Amino acid sequence: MRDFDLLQPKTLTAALDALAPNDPATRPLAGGTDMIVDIRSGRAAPTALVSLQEVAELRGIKRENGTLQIGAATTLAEFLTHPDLAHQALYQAAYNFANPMVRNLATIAGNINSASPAGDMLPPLLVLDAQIELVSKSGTRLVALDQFLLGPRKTVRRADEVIASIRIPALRPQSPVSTGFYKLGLRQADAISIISVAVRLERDGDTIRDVRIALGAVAPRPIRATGAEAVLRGQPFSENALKESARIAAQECAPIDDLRASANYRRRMIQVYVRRMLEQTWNKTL
Amino acid sequence: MIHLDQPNIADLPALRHIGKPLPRIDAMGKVTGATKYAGDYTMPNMLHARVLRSKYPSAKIQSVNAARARALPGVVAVLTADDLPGSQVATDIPGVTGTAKRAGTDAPVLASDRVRFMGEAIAIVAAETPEIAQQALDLIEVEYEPLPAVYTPEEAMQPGAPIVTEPDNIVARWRIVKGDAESAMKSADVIVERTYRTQFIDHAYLEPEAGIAWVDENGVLTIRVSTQVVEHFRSIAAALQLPQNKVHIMGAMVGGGFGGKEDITVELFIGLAALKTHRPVKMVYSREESILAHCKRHPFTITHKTGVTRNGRLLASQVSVMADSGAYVYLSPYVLLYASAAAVGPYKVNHVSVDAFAVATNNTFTSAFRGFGAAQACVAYEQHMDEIARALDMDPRELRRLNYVQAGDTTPNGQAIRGAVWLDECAKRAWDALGEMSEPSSPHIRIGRGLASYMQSYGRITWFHDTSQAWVGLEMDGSAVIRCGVPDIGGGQMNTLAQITAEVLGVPMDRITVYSTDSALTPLAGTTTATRQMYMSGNATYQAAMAVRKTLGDRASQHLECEPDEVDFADSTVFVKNDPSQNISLTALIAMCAAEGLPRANLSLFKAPFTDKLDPETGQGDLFPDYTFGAHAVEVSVDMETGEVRVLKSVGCHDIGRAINSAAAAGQIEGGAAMGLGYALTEDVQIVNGVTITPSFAEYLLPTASDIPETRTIILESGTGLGPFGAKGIGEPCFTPVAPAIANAVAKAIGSRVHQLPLTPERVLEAIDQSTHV
Repeated sequence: MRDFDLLQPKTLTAALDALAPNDPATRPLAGGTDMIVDIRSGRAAPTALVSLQEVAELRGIKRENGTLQIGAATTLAEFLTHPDLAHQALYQAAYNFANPMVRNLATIAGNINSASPAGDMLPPLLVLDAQIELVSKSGTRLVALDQFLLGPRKTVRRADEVIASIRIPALRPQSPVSTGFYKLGLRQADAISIISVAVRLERDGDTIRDVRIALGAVAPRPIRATGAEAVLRGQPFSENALKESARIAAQECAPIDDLRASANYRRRMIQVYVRRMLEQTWNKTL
Repeated sequence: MIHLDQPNIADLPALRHIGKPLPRIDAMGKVTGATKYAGDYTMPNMLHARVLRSKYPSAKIQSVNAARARALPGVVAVLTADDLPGSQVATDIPGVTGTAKRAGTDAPVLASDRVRFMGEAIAIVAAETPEIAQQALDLIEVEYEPLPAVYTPEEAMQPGAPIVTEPDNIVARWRIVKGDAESAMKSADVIVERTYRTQFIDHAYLEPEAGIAWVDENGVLTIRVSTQVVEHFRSIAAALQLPQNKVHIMGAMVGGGFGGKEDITVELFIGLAALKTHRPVKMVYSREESILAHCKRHPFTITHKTGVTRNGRLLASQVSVMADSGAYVYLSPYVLLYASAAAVGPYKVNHVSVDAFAVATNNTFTSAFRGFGAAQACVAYEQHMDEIARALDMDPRELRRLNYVQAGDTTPNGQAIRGAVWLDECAKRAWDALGEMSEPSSPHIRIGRGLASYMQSYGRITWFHDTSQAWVGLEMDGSAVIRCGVPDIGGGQMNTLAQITAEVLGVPMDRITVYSTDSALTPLAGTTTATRQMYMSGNATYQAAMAVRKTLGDRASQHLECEPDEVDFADSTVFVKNDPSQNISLTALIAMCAAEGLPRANLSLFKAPFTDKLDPETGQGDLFPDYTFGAHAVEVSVDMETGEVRVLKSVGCHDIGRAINSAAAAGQIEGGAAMGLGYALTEDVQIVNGVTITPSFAEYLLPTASDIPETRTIILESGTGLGPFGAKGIGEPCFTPVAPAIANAVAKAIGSRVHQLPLTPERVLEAIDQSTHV
């Protein structure tokens, strides 16, 4: 393992000062469950790590004007016990995330920043229209997660920025909304997804008022299946409509063959699980 | 939480210690973390060594230039093949107990001109820190010229294929011929022919390979190492050109073996480095190095052609077997023999012909792994029994019941089966214990159940002429000492010896100390392999303890004025069986014997049955001391739209002759069930064109606690084993039926079969497609 400097600022200002030179070799460190593995294997070779673990401003979950603000350093374990995170999709994703030991360390911002095509928290955050709050010495900007993710391990974050929070806009209480997430892996825990699917569905009587579908591990980054959403939006609910949407979702993704599964299998599983998650979220709004 | 049933159906006499789930003598050290493993030992002035490994699966080495590595501050030595000219290590018989050896069974300690698999050792760096050693590896320049390679046995047997092992890549071949299978096949009503395939898997022990070597003050190369075989000191001596009495292996508690530490691992690397640097040298493999460079389980391709009568009698069986031996021979000939001998399973077939090949490829070498070929054979024969039953439209359990071997029947190699054969009893109890069938949780879920039976040897091949020795002695205060060279690989091997001694000498378990795993200071007990230690060292310990008991018992009978056979030993007291008030304390008796110069200790050698080799043309002859019989049953759910499989229930029922420690036996059976589940569903060392693409536990998927259901264990005790008190071995056998039971349950659920392990969701879904398209 290569040597590096470890900085442990106590405040966000001090952390941003440390990152201010905008040097890609100085990296922020959250839970370290990806970073330390990457350093050990030689995939990453930072000269300095700026630990955010002791920065109090980055912790905690609060609601402001209906927007849920999740501190960047919130661990996945904390997701499982926080009453404000009753979004089924987020809870399910956190519940299926790695294993209890990793969940105790890994943070929500770390998972977003890693930008893995199979990142478990990303599809639910995509369907919840999550925004990423990026801060640096030169200011703050809010970027929609869909714009934040560029490709495998690539994001719009500059080296002098840290993710400060994740913001999830309020759900409209007058309309029944349900979300869901499913991860298909080769075992029940500690598995990298073969595929994952998140759905957010808003219901109006017998009609699907709005729907968002996000797919994981079937493209260079988690994606929204906008075509699959479009055929359902504003339409009356029917089994056939769900099947058609699932069929389109399978066409919209661009999976690859790898050691876990073939592209064909992934496509087919997208079709199965998009339909199942649509059904499940619809039924939950009943 | 152990779910253990132990019905005493053979009405065996009650014993004081044997069969009880007593706390193991090694338990406290393990739960508190006090137990030391080989990698926990350090020494003053110690160096750390790392191995440079081949980047190509098949290449000529043009040159190795270590100048830059040697110049790195902190590097003490860089050793290559030049430091050990021409040195080879024998790979084919662990412990060197035999003489026969096929040409080409040696492997170079360090590759000089040629590498045959990716990960083969080329150089060793010994440095002041592990980090410097690692850094130095990157500074060694190796010039390779890639050579043509072969990656499957089928390719490797083609004329003109690149040669991995001289002369023709065929590492071993066995034929077993009983009766006339070809003619008998003609009288069959139905013939079923299928091919079954298994994958490479990794032992994945918690403790990777580790050791520390130094030259002691008498010039003895001493190696503290995690190993199943302290007798490797002989091969190490040969490879390092030392006399055998100048190599001393000190074991440590082993953090899992499963066959992966049956071959030499780090011993020669650290031994050579210690000799060259005159300093202690330590080496611990990383997980990735362990997956890359130690042996794997052999992938097998097994084709069964079976002729049966309409009412389900097996008439004739033709089996062809192909195993991938990887780049070096190691134990492939014997693994192949186990698979060949077990090819038709625990069934009576009068006409059998087995033709088996192990073939060299440029894949990671394969060698011992729990079940040792007999497990792969069971994956094939037990799936095949279900396929035959399906072809006959018969209940597969009924087909098995009709054909199970009985005591007195002979195996395909002509060996008579002795002792109780409780195959039917085991199968019935395992199946019944599944209880009520689970309800599918949704319309796309189907539930299926499967069973597999097996017979499997315990004890080594009888022409290896196996022996074990143990020393048992009583101290003046009535405590006992056992000395026995048995490596304890976590199965409770040392505890077994203590529990036997406690029974025989009436000494409480907490007053017994076991010294083990030392090639110089404990009597050699042979390998902890082949499910042999309870049988072999258990018997040696039993004999030694009985000899001590005889001396003391005779003296006590004089003192108590009774016949010697009326004397009994319990709770540190020696007494008249029918009148325990007539007694003498064990310490007083020991003092009496000491005063008279009577021995209170005994060294005993236990000898397994010795036989000659099998007939090379027909494979006829005795092969194993004895067999364990049993069954495993499971219930699974399958998602018919995705192919996902969950194991819902799992029950193992085995006749283990007599449990020595029932909790330890149940632990073995539960562990076997978990390992078998991984074999069936998730574990797969994927080697693509010689490159391992599952290099870590992120890609090589062991089942987690969430994947493994609670396992029920049913221990039956026929009392007819060859071990002490009628015990039989269970370490390997309990693993064997698990994967085929799961495969049968999945096939039952989906109405078709995947003929290749592991049963990934994708493969299961393909099979579902095929069944629905038919």
